[in-house]
Amino acid sequence: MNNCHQLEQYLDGTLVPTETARFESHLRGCSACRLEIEIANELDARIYAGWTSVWASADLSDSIVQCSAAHSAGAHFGVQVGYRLFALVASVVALIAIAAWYLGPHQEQIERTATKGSDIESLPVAKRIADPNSLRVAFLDEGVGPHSSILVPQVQSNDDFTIVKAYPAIRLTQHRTFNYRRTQDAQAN
Amino acid sequence: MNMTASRDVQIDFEKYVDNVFRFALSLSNDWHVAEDLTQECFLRAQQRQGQLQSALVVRSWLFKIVLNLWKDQLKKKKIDAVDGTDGDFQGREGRPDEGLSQRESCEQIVRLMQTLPNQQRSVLYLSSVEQFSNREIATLIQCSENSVKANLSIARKSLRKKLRRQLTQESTATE
Repeated sequence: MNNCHQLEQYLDGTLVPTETARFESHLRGCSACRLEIEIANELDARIYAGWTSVWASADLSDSIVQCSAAHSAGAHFGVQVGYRLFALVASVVALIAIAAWYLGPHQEQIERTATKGSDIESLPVAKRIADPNSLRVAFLDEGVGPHSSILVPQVQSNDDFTIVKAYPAIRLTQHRTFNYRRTQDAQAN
Repeated sequence: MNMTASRDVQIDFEKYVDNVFRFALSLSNDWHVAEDLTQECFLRAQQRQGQLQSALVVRSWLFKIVLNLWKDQLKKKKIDAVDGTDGDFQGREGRPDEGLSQRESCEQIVRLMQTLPNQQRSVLYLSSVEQFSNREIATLIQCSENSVKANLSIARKSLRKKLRRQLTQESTATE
């Protein structure tokens, strides 16, 4: 049986094992197919040998090596500089924060002073509060805003209010006397 | 063994210069263009080293970069790659230790391959020279494995025909 038509499939390696065996037995008696296979092998060998004898020029290789070395050095330098810069900025920020805390106005203390009961006691509205358990007051002072209010969770007595917990969002930078009013009163007005 | 290409690990790209250059040459058919492509490829590889998934695929990653660069160049310049013509192999400077016959032999087969269409030439180069599997080639050039097989088969058949003719001429000349 003539199996010459299977030559291409044999060379492509797409024949199943039984067909391969049959084709190889065919090869023993077919010089045309054998020659074609020899040419195919010669072709592969020449392609490989031909291409692997092509090299990049020395100039090109050198320039790539130099470029690579420069890039690596630059990247390493960049990382080092990045870390050092970050450490420097973080240190400066920390120092400024510490200095501001020591040298700047004692906001926490002022705030506590300003929100002590003494200020509230001077306010007639605050004194009229009936509910002894809680007090919602509206700040009318400039900078805080007329609609801001705080909920004071603990009231000592009807006559002598003491704000024991200041609202954390309100930060005062100087001594001021505040006018407190209950929210309901503010709305009524 | 850590397979991942860490940013801290310096990949030794330089050892692939010849491979990349050859592939660039197989794509462009032009010595100077291949040199430019190779240089650009390594520059890009250095810049994008962090994108490299594994140190084991450096070669195919570099080839992918070259292929993309070549495609970009074709789009920008709107030039056609040398297809089915007797490509120009000018600009080639052989190594000092490279003999004349070696150069001729090398240029002969490279010229023979230049007569193939782009896709067939690339596929044949990647398979025969770089020894990539069909699957690897399919992934690299973004086509199906069947397409790779078909291109390889056609390319080999076409070159066999030319080589047979060449061998016949050589034997006639020696007689």
